[in-house]
This record gives sequence, structure tokens and C-alpha cells, in this order.
Amino acid sequence: MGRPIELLILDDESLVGQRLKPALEKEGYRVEAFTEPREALARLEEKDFDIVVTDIRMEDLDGMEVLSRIRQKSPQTKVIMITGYATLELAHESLNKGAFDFIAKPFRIGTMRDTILKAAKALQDEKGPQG
Amino acid sequence: MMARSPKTLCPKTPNKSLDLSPEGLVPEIKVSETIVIQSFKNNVISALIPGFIHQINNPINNIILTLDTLMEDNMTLTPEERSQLFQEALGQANRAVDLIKTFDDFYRDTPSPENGQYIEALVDKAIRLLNHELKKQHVKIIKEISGTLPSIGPEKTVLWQVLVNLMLNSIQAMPNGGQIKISLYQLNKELRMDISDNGTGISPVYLKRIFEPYFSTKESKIGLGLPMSLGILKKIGGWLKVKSSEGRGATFSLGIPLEEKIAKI
Repeated sequence: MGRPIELLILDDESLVGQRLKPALEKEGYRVEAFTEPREALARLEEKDFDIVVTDIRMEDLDGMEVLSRIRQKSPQTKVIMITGYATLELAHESLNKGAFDFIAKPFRIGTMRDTILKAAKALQDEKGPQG
Repeated sequence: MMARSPKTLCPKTPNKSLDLSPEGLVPEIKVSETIVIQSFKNNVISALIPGFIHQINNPINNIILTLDTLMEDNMTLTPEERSQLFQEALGQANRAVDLIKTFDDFYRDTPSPENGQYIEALVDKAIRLLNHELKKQHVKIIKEISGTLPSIGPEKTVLWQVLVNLMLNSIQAMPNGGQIKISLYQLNKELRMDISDNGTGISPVYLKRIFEPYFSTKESKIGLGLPMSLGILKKIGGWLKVKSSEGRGATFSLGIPLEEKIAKI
């Protein structure tokens, strides 16, 4: 890819975005972090991101709903789901609905970095050598 | 939807018993008070465990991410930035401690005196304990307090456990979200509380049997929550009633005396 990978992070726990954003920017990603699902959705309507990282359980809107909207509008976007209570059912459900991967809290910055790197490689592979 | 068949409980201390039945409606069941209260709390706690794990994982995750930042950026952080990150990690650790304390208080027989004396504090504590369930089911809480409410004696803080159970029932009756209105007021020498939801409501057939031990409309539930709530309230001289029409929500109303009128058991 000739341009930086565009990433959106959505978690109503503000510290998640605050910690991940600088860590990922150091890797060369362009990152926007949101705590309000509706604001994130409005931004996703305006712009197609390469990778979206979203919490599943949020007060106003479910992360699954965010996933469905992204799949409809921008199917090429890789979506990584995060949750505070991991169940096998939830993991299956998110993967069946088209999520790229699923990460359970608590996680390390390194784990998220590796998963994002995998998503970025998958994007590159899909675009081919010219992408 | 099915009612479970009555089962027999063997009280460990048959001389100390708690009457769970509203007079004239259902057969009397007497079991050990300790077993009843503990089983009641166990039922509520088991329903809250997934939510507790979810809630506690958030501050723990924040601590881990903050410590990762401190380690990864150790060489480039200014002393001020480093101090800020330590403060944030400490704040998240305190948040985890508060969550554990809320659950621990619910599980213990004697609630903490500092937050057990005021009814409004008990309501807030119940909301905190159910925070995850409220969020997950998209249920909003409306609190309506009329006038200045008196403090209640420490023996009446068991009301908190009843309140948690009633709110949990309301949340479970609203699979597609909704609202719970908690109204608190004093009438004569009673503290009154109405807990109204706009959930699925209760059919007249079930409404007649709702305080019956082991009666449940949910396969996954034992059916002791409401009879136990009634038993606990009766023990402190109170009462519990329900009004509902199918599809139009339910209102549980309770009253507890503000003067000493504790039932002897």
C-alpha cells in the first residue's frame, strides 16, 4: 500500500483508545479513536477505513451492529472485535458475521499490534502486488 | 414457559425458620433462614457473574495497556507523562477494588455500614451492581425521589438484596430494552418503593402464582427469588405486591416500616 493504513478504534473505555492510538501511530498507522458509538458510525459513513477495532458491548449501540453496518457499507474493511467477556458463542457469532478476528479483554498492546498487522497483510494480499 | 414441580428442602436448623408464603395464597414453606438467604444471594450472584467478569476486565485491561505503555515508552516518556500514567493505572486499580467491594457487600451477611444507612445509597448500589446487565439489555433507570427520605436501620439494609432481585427480574423482562422507574417516598410511617418496568408483563394466570416457591416461567430459574424477597421483607415488617398486565410491564411495590417492627423468627 502506498498510503498509511487508516484505522478506527471504538471502545467506550476511553483509556483503550488513548493507549492504542499512540502505540499504533508509532507503527505508521493513521488512527482515529472514538468512545461514542454513534460518533464512530457517523465517521464511518463519511469515510471508509481499512481496519476497524470495536468493542462489542457498549451502552448505546452493540459492536455487532457496528460490524453489520461496516460489512454493508465497506465490505473490504477488516473488523477486529474486542470484548470484556469472551464466550465461544460470541467469538463464533462475530466471525460468522464477517469479523476478521476476535480479541478478549484483558489483552496486551502487542497482541493488538500483531492482530492489526495480520489484518493489514490480509488487506495487502487481497489488493495484490499492485495495491 | 413452565412451572417447576415443588421440591423438598431439609432445614439444617428447623427451629429457626422463615415463612416465605403470602397468607392465604400458597402453601406455607419453612426452611432454614440461613439457607434461604444464602441460596437467594447465590441465585442472584450466579446471574451477575458474566457481567462481573466483563466489568472487572475493563479496569484490568486499562491497567495492562497502561503498564505496557510505561514499559514500551520508558525511554521517551517525560517524568510528568510517566507520573500521569501511574496515576491512571492506580485509578483503574481502585475502580476494580470498588467493583469487588460492591459484589462482596452483596454476598456478605452484613453490609458495610457507611453505605448501608441511606435508602438512596442502597438504590445507587443496586444500580452499580446491575450496571452491566442494564447496559447489555439497553435498560435505562429513572429514579424519582419524593421529599427527604429518612435513614434506615442497619437491619433493613437487606432491602438492597430484594431490590437487586426485583430489578434483575425487570431487566430480564425487557429483552429488547426499556426502562425501569424506581419511585421512593415516605407514606405515614412506611418507606415505600415502586419498581415499574415497561417489559413483557405477567399474564393473570402467572400473576396469581408469582410468590409461590419454585414457581418460575423460566426454565433456567429455580423460582425462589420473589418468594424469598417477600420472606425477607416480612422479616423486617414489610410487604411486597405486584401489579401487571401482559405486554404492558409490571410494577412491584414494597413498604417497610420506619419504626422498629421486626418480626420475631
